[in-house]
Parts: sequence; C-alpha cells; structure tokens
Amino acid sequence: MIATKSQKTWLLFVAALAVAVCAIAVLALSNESSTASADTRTASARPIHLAALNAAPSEQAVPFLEHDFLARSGYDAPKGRLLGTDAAGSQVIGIPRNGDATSDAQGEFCVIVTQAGQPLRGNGACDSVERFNETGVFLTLTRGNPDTDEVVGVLPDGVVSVSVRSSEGQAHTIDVDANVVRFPLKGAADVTFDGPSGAVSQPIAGGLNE
Amino acid sequence: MGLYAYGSANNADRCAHAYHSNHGDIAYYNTSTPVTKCAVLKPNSDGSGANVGNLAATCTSGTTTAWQYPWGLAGHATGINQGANYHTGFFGYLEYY
Repeated sequence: MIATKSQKTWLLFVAALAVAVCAIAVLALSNESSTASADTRTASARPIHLAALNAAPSEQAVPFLEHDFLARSGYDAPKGRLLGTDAAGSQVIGIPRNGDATSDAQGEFCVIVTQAGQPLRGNGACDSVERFNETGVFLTLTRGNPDTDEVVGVLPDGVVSVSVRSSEGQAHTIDVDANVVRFPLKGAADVTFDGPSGAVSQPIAGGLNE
Repeated sequence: MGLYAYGSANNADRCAHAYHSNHGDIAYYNTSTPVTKCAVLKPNSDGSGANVGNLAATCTSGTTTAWQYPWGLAGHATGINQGANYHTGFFGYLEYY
C-alpha cells in the first residue's frame, strides 16, 4: 500500500459540503471505523456491461489502484481494470464503487483518468450502474486551456463509435477503442451514439477557467 | 468556507472547503437535479486561482459525480456549479491526511 505506517495512524476526515447554504458537517473517523463501514458494504448485484472488468488484471502497472483511500471512499479496487493508456501515459481505469460511510451510493461504475507523468493523481467520474449501462460515463479534464482540455468517455459494451457535435451542429465520428474514447474538448458540445437501448445524446461539460 | 457567485453560467457558483495540506480525493455531486459540476483543488479560499499542481479539474454533467484525486497536494477542495441556474442539493466529499 502507498500509505506509510504513520499515515495509517492519522485520522481520516470526511467533510460534506452543501452548496445551497454552504453549511458544513465534518466527521472525524478513525481508520478503524472507516474499515468497519467498508466491511459492511454490500456489493451490487447489478451487472456492469463492461466485459473488461471480468478480464485478468493488466500486466501493465496501475499504481493508482494501490491507493488506500480507494477502499475508504467505497471503490472496489481489486475489481478495477486498466482500460487504456494514451501516448503520454495517462491511464483510463474502470472500477466499481459501492458506497461509503458518508454516502448511500450503491452500485456505481466509475472512470478514473490518471495524470500523465503523475500516475497517483488524476480525475474521475461515477454514475449509477443503470445509467452507465445506458449512457456511459463522460468527464471533462480541464485547465481552462482550449489546446489541452479533453474529454474522456467509457462506453458500455457494444458501442462501436460516437459522434461528437459542435454547438454549430458540425459532427465527426470517433471510433471506440476497447470501450474508451478520448477527444479534445475544443468545439465539442455533445456526443451522440447508438446505445444498448437506442440513441443517446450526452451533453459535454465545458472548460473551466481560473 | 463560503459560496461565491461568479455570475457566469460557465464558471458559476463555487464552494470551497478549509485549507488542508495533504489531500486524497475530492468529490462533488448533486442528487436532486442533474447539473454540470466540477471538482478541483484550488489555492485560494474563495475557490479561485490556477488549479493546484496543474492538475486538471474534473467536470461532468447529468447525475454523474465529479472526482479529483490531488494526492498529497495542499489547497482548498472546491466544488463548482457550472449550470446556468441556481441549484440546491449539492454535496461534497473530501478526504485528507
């Protein structure tokens, strides 16, 4: 594990933020209590339509999956699988999540995208298994730079291509590579594709300035 | 922490948590209304400034939860409502050491 022995003795703090009033509740949990809550979680029985999750773990190292906070945050790290790696070394990981001490989330599928050159850091997005099975999961990685901001999507099995449309209605097709698509954010307003239950249109989150 | 209305549909309301020196993960989600939102570690207490560590912010739409993993970095965990409208029901989650 990545955490040192001394780190394991530190307290874990979980904070809940409510934007409407920005009230805050802070819970102080020891690692022992976090572990106990993790042990009582019930794994989702709903199948995730991503065959890669049933494959053997990749022979390529996936350092991110060694984070000890994954289990505390409800991720099922042993079931995480490397779905793809881009030319710069950024890894796309698919991983189930079954809730945690502060959330009633049950049966989620999450996508984690590691930062190129910093395999222990990155970005992620989670949605219910039901929604993933219909619409996939898309996230925008943004530093407010139109030249480098990008969109990463993981599609359920059976989706072979997506159409990325601009706000002006122009569209271009991108092939899905082992359930993964990556494309520049610049000019992308939404993405459409033929999903398992019919046509899907997903809006793309915009870039973020400072 | 506070709520800061930037008055822009694409970079709108922000909620920044207290400073911590060693983050694990940050999540931001909305359970009541599908809305575009971002999770990001920022250097300033009002949720502004360049992304800490030059780590990309995570933005996502619908009911999807946005996560950022700024492992070991210091700053203010920030959630951003990118929607054009005022929304309620946002929640954040962060872990630090």
